[in-house]
Amino acid sequence: MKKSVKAAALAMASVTAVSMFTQIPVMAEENGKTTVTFWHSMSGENGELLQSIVDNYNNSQDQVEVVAEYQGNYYDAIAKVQTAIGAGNGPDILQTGSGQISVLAKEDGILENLVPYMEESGMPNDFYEGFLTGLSFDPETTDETLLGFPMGCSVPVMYCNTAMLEEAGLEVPTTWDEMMDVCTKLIDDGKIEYGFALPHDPWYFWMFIAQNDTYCFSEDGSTMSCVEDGTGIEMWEKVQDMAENKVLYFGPAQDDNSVAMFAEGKTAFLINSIGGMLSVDSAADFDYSVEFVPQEKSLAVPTGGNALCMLASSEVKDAAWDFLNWMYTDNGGVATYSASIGYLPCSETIAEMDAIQEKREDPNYQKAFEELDYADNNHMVRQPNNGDITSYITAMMEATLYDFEDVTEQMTIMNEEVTSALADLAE
Amino acid sequence: MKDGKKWIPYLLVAPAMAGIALFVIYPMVNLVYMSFFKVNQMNPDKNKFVLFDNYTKMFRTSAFQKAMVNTGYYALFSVVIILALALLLSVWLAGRRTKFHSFVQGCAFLPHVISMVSIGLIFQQMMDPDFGIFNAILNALGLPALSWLRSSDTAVGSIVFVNVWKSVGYYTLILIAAIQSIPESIYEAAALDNAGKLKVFFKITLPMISPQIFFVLIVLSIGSFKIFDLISIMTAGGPNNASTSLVYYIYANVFQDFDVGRAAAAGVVLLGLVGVMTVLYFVGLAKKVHYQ
Repeated sequence: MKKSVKAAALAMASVTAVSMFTQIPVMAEENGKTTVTFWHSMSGENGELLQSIVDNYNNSQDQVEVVAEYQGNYYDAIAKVQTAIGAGNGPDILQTGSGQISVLAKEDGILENLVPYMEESGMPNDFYEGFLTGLSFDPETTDETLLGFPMGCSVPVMYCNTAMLEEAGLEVPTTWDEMMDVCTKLIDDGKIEYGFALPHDPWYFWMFIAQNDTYCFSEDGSTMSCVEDGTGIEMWEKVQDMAENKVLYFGPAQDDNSVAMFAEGKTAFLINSIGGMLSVDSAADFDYSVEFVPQEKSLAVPTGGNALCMLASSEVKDAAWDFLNWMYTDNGGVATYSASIGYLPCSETIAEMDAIQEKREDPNYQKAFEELDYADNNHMVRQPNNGDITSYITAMMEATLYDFEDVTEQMTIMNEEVTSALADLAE
Repeated sequence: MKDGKKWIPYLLVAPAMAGIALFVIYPMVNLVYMSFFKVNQMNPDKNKFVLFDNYTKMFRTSAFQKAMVNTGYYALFSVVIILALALLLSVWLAGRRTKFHSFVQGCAFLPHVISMVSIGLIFQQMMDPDFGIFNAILNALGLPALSWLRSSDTAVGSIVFVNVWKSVGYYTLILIAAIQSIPESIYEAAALDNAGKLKVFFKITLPMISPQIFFVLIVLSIGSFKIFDLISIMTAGGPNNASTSLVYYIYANVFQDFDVGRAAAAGVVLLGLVGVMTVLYFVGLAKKVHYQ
């Protein structure tokens, strides 16, 4: 008996040791189905929605089994996938923030070009240009190379407390000057504490700068031309002026409360992603409307959201493509995902699907869809690596909107550090 | 021990030494090694040897300079304030066994059992400049409101405040145990000599608990140098890097800027700082510690 126990223990130890030091091949087949690993960044209700979509796909056919695995937020997921790729253990499909995809796209041979798959499957390449430039893809070349598909697509919109505006007899502001006037009046009347809430996100920096009819970066992408030619400084001084007069509430870096500020009636407006409409809907108990964001010299909005890409290292590319193809051609895929969360459709094909058509009957959603005509991602087109330098922009935003430091001085510091970082990236 | 069995002690410590080599020595050596490279995580073949480039560029960035200053600030103020308060509280609580003192001791220790994430989130709300309870209290007292976490001037101080609130009870408990272990006969002898309370404290209590104070000093200092969680939860290093620390700088470089080489360089600096500080403590203070 003792001998048999010893033998069993020895066998177990041997198996454990062997399995620890031997690379076990990934099980690509499960129950006769090819397994596709899908890493994503959707948690909570959005994560449950994505899982249900994946389940529907898995049940719709008997060839492919997609295993969806949550990997943390966009930053966590992109950090994990880089390490995994280096170790040769990357997933087959990855969902990441559209701003983060350039981290993978700038490295040759990491992401699979999806255009040949589209051509073979007959999937139309009719993505809205605004979302492709948001992925830092040159719109001139996307008929030959696409290293990812836009998935959850958004633009910043303005949520208005229409009940409050009607009561005060005020119109919805369409310019930042009008915004200043309307908010000042509401604040003076004691109806609100701040005019509009803005989340703590460098996304809005791109929006304000583009609205001054200028470019964030120089043509060669090496420096921030909006600082050097003064156009960015001019615009940001106006933003700071709004913050100093309590027209603008710039949310905290962590545990952002901008939606709560709006929903609790402490601000009359909220500038936020259309992807946040569900949270506004559930928090606000008054009539509100979605409007275009106010404009400066022109109306310009950046696009954002997330994207799906296939890794070039995948050993089950055909199966992975089958899932991607289904996601973009079946009403139960990206169309359902976008309509359920409030994201905009990423392509003309998806815009025509039932789920989106039904959603577009909501005037608030339709308004955001119309704003897509004003998408401007010049920051991504001229400098696709800008995702790496947003920390410098965030620091400038905090210095000027929290500490009210001099805008020219802070933007000059930001430009020096960004220029240095961009030179590093170019090496 | 017979000559033939000289290898047995080595064999016995081998597993532990292997663990230390694998999980302590190797990561440290690799950290130093990586700090000389521009690291490409996705394709290690493209790692580029840059010698001290990561260090020179890092020292030039304002974020790193602020991280260094802030880390020193956190360490200095956290250590001094926590140690002073813990010492005061422990002397007050150790000699008295009433229900009130037990209650105070429990209250002081309570924050230690609450998770740092909860504490960070709760204090973040209480410190909200517009709607937080702290400013409501200041206003009620006729004092000017503070920006707390949303100003470069007050962000570090606010985090030190929370850190002190969280930590002081734990170190108080250690010092109470130390004080209570001092033999009563020593105090009785001092009483016979009519020694005053201050004299008893400085000549008996302090020397007798000096090993524990030394331990607290080392642990607190190293912990303060490694401060991360509160910053990550409450300010993300802002505003304008005003509250960033060395560890948060390392985190941001790896997980936000994806610059592993520079993060490794910052890690080496942190390693050096903690090492130098620990050596200085031992050289400067070890002889003053009174071991029974």
